[in-house]
Parts: sequence; C-alpha cells; structure tokens
Amino acid sequence: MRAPSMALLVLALGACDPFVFDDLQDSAGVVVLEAPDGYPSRSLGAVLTGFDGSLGGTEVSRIAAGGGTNMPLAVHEVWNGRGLALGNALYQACDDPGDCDRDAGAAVAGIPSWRPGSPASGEMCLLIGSPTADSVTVRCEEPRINEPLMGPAGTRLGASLASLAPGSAAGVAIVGAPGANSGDGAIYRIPDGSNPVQLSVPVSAIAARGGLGSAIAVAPLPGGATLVVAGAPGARRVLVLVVSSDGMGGVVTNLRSCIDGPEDGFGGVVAAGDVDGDSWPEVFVSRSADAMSRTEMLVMLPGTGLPDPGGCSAAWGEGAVPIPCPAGLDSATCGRGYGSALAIGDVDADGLGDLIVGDPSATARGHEDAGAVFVLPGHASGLDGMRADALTLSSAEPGDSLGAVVATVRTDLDAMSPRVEVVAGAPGAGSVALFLCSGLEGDTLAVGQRCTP
Amino acid sequence: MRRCTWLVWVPLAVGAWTPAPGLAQDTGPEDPDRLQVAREHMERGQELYLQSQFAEAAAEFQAAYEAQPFSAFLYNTAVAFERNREWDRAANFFARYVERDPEAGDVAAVRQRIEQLRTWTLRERGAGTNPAPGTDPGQPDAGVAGQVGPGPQGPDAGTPGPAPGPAVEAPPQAHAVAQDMKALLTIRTNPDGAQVTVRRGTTAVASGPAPFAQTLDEGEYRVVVEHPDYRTIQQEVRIRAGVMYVLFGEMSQGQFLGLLRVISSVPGASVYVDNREHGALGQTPFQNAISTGRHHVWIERPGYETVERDVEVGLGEEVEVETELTRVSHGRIQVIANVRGATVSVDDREVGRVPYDGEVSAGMHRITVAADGMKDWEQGVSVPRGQLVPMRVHLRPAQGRGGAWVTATLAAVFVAGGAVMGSLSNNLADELTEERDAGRLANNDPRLLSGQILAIAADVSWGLGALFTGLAIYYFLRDPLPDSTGSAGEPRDWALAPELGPGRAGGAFRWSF
Repeated sequence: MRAPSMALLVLALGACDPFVFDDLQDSAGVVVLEAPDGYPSRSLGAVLTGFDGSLGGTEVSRIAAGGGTNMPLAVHEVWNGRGLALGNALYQACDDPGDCDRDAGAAVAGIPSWRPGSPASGEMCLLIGSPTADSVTVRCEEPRINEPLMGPAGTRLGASLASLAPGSAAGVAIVGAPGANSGDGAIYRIPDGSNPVQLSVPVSAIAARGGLGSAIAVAPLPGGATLVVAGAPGARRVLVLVVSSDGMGGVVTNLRSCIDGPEDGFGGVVAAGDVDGDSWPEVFVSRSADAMSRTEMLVMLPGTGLPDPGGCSAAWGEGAVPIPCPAGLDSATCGRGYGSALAIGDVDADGLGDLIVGDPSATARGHEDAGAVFVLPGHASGLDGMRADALTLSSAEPGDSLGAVVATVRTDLDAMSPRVEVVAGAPGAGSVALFLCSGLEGDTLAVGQRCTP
Repeated sequence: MRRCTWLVWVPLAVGAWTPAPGLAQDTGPEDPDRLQVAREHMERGQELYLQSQFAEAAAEFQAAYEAQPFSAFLYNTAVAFERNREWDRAANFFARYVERDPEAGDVAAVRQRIEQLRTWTLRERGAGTNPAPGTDPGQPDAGVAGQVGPGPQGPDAGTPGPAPGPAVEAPPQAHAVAQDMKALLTIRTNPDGAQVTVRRGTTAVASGPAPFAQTLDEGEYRVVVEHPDYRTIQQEVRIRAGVMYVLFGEMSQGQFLGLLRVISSVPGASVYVDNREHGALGQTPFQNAISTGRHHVWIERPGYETVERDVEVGLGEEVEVETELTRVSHGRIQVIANVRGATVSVDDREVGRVPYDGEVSAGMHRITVAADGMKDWEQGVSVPRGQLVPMRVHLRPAQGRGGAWVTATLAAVFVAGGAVMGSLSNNLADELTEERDAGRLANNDPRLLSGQILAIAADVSWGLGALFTGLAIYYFLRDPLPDSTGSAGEPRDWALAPELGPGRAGGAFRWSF
C-alpha cells in the first residue's frame, strides 16, 4: 500500500491544474465576443456600436455588432446592473424576415430609449440603417419594437448613424443620407419617436457628388447643442455643424466649419470629442476605408480652432494637427489602414477623451493584417502621443482586421466617474474584442479583468 | 595381492638303492600314491637285493616300475637279474633301460654291458652250462657291500660289470652291494612349474620343470629351483645309491618376515606401506606379514587427516600400530540440480557449476544455486568437518519480467511526458498570466486551450504514469510461479577411491543418495 500511496502523492504534487486556464480566460482583459451560433456571416465586427441605458430600471450596457449589409446584429450583454456579464449574444436584431428593411445593417447606433413615456416606448434600442431601403429601423430590446423610419427615396438614408446624448435638442440620432440630391448627400436627425428630419445645411457647403453624410460623428456641446461632423469623402470635404434648439421646439443648424482635405477620401471617417478638456470637441478626420491605399492622413482639428465656415477650400492647413501612427510600440506596427476607424471616449477615466484609432492592416504580434487599435490619450494640449499604446489580440491571426471598426462601451455604470472601454471589430476573425483595459499608462489592472486609474 | 609364504624343504629318504652308473632323467606324472607304492617296492627290492635274493628283488623292482616308470627301476631290475646270473634277462632290462632313457650318461657303458651279457649267454649255451645263481663268474666285485654313497659306478669307477676285452670274462659274483643300484631324485614345488636344475660341480646334470624326477648316481649335487616370481632356492644334496629322494619346495617371496597389525579408531581406513603409489595393502583393522626392517605406514580415510607412522619390524615380530583418526578441518558439499550448468555459489562467491562437488571450510555457509531464467535457490547449510553434505535442488522458472519492464518503460514515458507537458503548461500559464496582468490577454487566446490541454494531458500522463508505475511495481513483485526448492541431506562420510595412472595420482569420490 505504501507504493501506491506514494505514487498518488507524487501525482497530486505534480498535477497540473487545468482550471488555471479557465481562470485566466475568465480574468482576461480582452474579451472576444464571437458570432452567435448560426450567424450567417463570418464577418461579424464589420459594424459595431456600444450603448447603455436603463432597462426596466436597471442600468445596462450592450454591444451590438454585425457583419455588414443584410446581416443581423448580434447584441451582447456587457453590464447587467450588477457587474460585467460578458457572454453569448442576448439576441440578434434583424434576424427574422420583416424585422428590418432590406439590406439592414450597414450602420448601427444605440440609444437608451425610444419615445420614452409613451405607451409604446422602448428601452435599449438600436437604430439600424438600411441605405438601400432609405430607412432606419428602430429595434428596442424591451419591449421588443421593430419600427422602420423611412426617408426619402434614393437618399441612402442610414448609410451612417450617430446617436446623440440624452437630452439633445436634435433628437436621438443623426443619420447620413449620402445619396440625397443625386449624390450630393444630406444629413438627417431622428427626433425621438419620429421619422428622420433633414438638417438644413447651407447649399454652398454641399459639394456636388460629395456624398455628404457618408460619415457622421457627433459630440455634445454646452447648452444641449450638438456638434455634428459629416464627411463628404467624394468631395474631400468635412462639414462641422452645430445643431441646437431654436427655443420653440425646433432645432437650428449652423455650419461651424467646412474643411476640404487634400486627397480623395478625406472625410470618409470622422470623429468628434473633447480630448483636451476645454469642453469644445475636437474633430478628427481621416480617409474612408476605400482610400486606404494612399498615405495615411489622420488629422485633428481642435474644437477651439475650427476654421470659420467662410470658405471651405481655405480651411485645410489652418489648425489641422496630423496624428501620425504611434511609433516604437512592441505589439503592433501601423499599416496603411491607420485611421480607417475612429472613436473617442475616456478609456482611462482621467476625465479627458481619448482618441481610438483603428488600423485593420496593422501588423500585430508579427501577424500581418491582424489589425490593431491605437489609443492616444487626451491631453490638455491635444493628444499625448508619448503615452499612446496599441491594443491587439493575444490570439491575433493574420487577416483578423482588428480595428476595422471601433467604438466604446461603458462597463462601470455603477462607478462615480464614467469610464468607457474600447470595442473593436475584427471582421476577418468574425469577432468583436472588448478591451477592458486601455493599456494606457496609469490605467492599471486592479480588480478582475478591468483596469482602473 | 601377492602371496608371501615360507619355503620348506622336505627330504624323504625313500630307501637305499644300489647305485648304478650314469644318470637318467625320468619325467612324467607323479601321482603321490603311486609314488609311494613305487617307493615301497623299491625299499623292498633293495632289502631283498642286499640279502642276495636277487630274483625276488628283481620282481620288486619290476613292481616299482609298474607303479612309477622311472628308468632307475629298469636298471635296478637288470642288475638284480645279472646278480642272479640270468644274463639274458639282465641284458633285456638293460636294453629297456637304454631305450627308456637314451640320454642317460652311462648309455655307452650299459650297451657294452649288454654285449657282455649276450656273450655270456651264448657261451653258456655253447658249453651247456649256465653259471649257477649266486656263483662268481670270475670277476671280483670292486664295491663295498652296505656302503651308501658314491661307489665304483660306471666305467670311471671301475664298475663291477664285465670288463671289455677279447677274453670271455667271468660272470659277476653273486655278492651284492648297494652301490650297484641307481638313486632317484624327485622334486615338487609350490607353485608348480619352477625350473629345477641339478648340478654336480659346475656341470648341469639335469634340468626341467617341476614336478621333476631324475635318476642319479651317488654323489654331491646342488639343486637350484627358480621361479620368476619367487625367490630362488639353492640346496646342496648328498645322493646315496639306492635311495629315492622326494623333495618339496615351498617357494616364497621372502625368507624373513614379521607381522604388521594396524588398528584405527575408525575402521575402514586404507593402509599403505612404504609406497603409496602401489596402492593400499588393506583396510583397518589390518594384519599381514611384512618383511623385516623399517617401514613407513600411511593410514588414510576420506574425511580424516592422514596418519603416518614409521615402524621397525623384526623377524617374526608382531608390530601393532594403533591410531586415532581425526576429521579434516573442511567438509564437502555436493550439489545436483535439475538444471545442468547452474552456478553454485558459496557465500556469494561462485565456486562452480552443477553438478558440483567441492571442498568448503567447515561451518555455516550460504549456498546459492542460480541459472538464467530460473529462480535462485539459497539456503544456509552447516558443513561439518570431514563430511559431505549432499544437496538436491530443483530450480523453477522465474517469472518473466518483460511485461514489468514494458510497463515501467511506459510509466517512465508517461511520467516524463507529463513532466514535459506540465512544464509547457506551466510556462504557458506564466506567460498568459503575465499578459493577463497586463490586461492584454484575450479570452479566446488559443494558448489558453493549448495550456489547458497540456495541463489535462500532463495530468492524464501523470495519472497513466502513476498507474503504470503501480502496475510495474505489481508486475515486478507479482510472482505466481512457485519458488525453487531444494534440500540439504544429512552429512555423511565420503569415500575416497584412489586413482593412480601414468603421470597422475589422485582420488575419486563416490557417494550415493
């Protein structure tokens, strides 16, 4: 009996604990959300948004990701009111025939509610663009609402979407219609519970065949106003609008700036947010994804230094700050897709917005086109490139294209200070990555898999 | 063993005999009874002859001849007829004598005497007269009546026979003397076949194998009896005429003997005298004749120390050697087993192979018998001094350990594999933990699965290693086959049979179960 006992003892002492890896997986700082079973596309992550709100009185947050046009949107739970609840998709939007218009899924934005207070109000809703149908579908989680919002025919309404902060005078979202006016494009706002209403943009600022509204970004301004950034990549132009209440229940739109870029595709990607703490959002412009063969061009236009809207052509070069790819990072090197996706959020909870730049063609961990997400922390002077970091997948594979789309989502709805985390789509891998730790200096892993400042 | 006896001469004077000239050898079977009959007739004839009763004497001599056909009896018969003046009959017996013993030394003289007797016979027939019995035919007798010993025999001695010459000699006178007769010498030996030579001076007058008989004239002779295996006998003999001598020669190997007696405390010891290579003369208790002088005696018995003694044996002396035999300081073991060639070890030192016998020091020893593929047999055995301990061993097959080794190898492989995979898993865990702590670990990192698989595989491998280790231990310990058996018999004396051969000397031990 002694020998077997000794053998068991040796076995016990030498045994490996396989659950260590389960623990590691559970505590991983990067949560990769896979496509739900039966998802029809392998390109999950082509479109993406993060949103939060109240669901039955509980603050929750969600990530909605899709495979692109005509693909359902998989909605993942992130925060369930008690903590992180990352796992399989809660549901899929537009997965049943009739839920959405045709080719839905080209763009998506989340809003906390739809027609609040009305009997048919919904919570935690998605706005799903169907540009080929010139519509946007409202899909609420509770109660389940599928409500199409139709635009004028031929406007390609829904090609881009940006949700507005609650209480915005402009409504719940801004939606682009790059096909309007024979391709000149237009910008619509979606009032809460109503069909889209076109924003009044000076005709002089609309370039012919510019496709205005191909990209939309919004940022709140003091007094309930909203800064709307709309790209017209066909005309290398970006319009910066200020949408505010007219005091009579209506809104007024003012052109803040008209910026023409030097190369084609300029304005294909836009973002807006305050990164220097002056309460005036900065505008970030990059090229569209189909123009990535050219040299990188990501610029920042400080909110306080936006050019006057007097002459669009004269704007470039005045106050535009190039944002080059952060160099010297071990985890990733930029590719030609640097800036193909932009988002702004305070990922390190320092009170300043941080720029999130996607580069699906970056070489990560030695894998080409694995993609990466660069985080450039905000700074009083703009962006602190010295603290920039790259977020990659430790499971990176060539062609993952991480960073094809980027977004943010709140994971600490119970915290006093708001904090968002980076979400990036990897359509090449068919997944979405939630980075619970920004990787920025000062933002360290303290509890669980989340970083805290 | 060669006999050792004494030589005894037994001269028998059968009777006086009238010496006759010449010698004649008689050979033939000598029946002791018939010889005695012949001797008695000869003695009677001799007595009658000296009483001048020649006819009766002749009859007795003829009867003696009938009993034992020695030529001397024919001669004596002829002489008796001659004295009785029966010339013709005397001539006839002389003629038979010559015919019977043609090699006799006096044949020429006897032939001349026959001629003389024939002449007398013719003259008496021509004169019509015959010499009267008991009358002297005119020639005085030169002998002395009653004399025993060499007398006037034959021509050289001036025998009383008719003298040669043209004149007709007178018939012999009727007065008889013993010297007229022939003597007879018979010799028997033990053993038969000894070569007998009778010499007179330097001249050999007769020789032949015993039993031997020879007609002799009176005189001094030397009798030599020789045999290749016995001592030569030489004896001076005085032969008187008319006497029949019967000699018995008991031949021996030595003429001076004593008696040696050897007694040992343990009977059965071999006794060697003077030369061991000649082999043992016997075993104790030992007693035998021995030549006189100084001798060296070995007393040996297997298992006992050899005892050596020097003894002095006088003529006719009985010398007794009594000794206490002590056992040797070592013993012997003998091992037989069912596996020929199995190694035999004494106290872990290999000493030989089965079948084995050999010396070991007396005392307790551990005997081991081993063979490939068989289970060892081992036993402590007490080996007494000077005795043989027989051992019979039955080796049985050993359990094959191939399966155990295979299992042990598998166990080692699994354990090593477990260690390697565990190490890889740990390394991965460390690496992933580091990345996790940096917030860079993706929950779908394939290394998580790899590490988990490695960990599980390591555990499985460990488990299999432990299982196979246990199995290996079990297989190593498991032995369903019976053990080898053996037994040590009761110690016994061993027998040593000396073996001697050209260029070697040794011994062979014999034992049995």
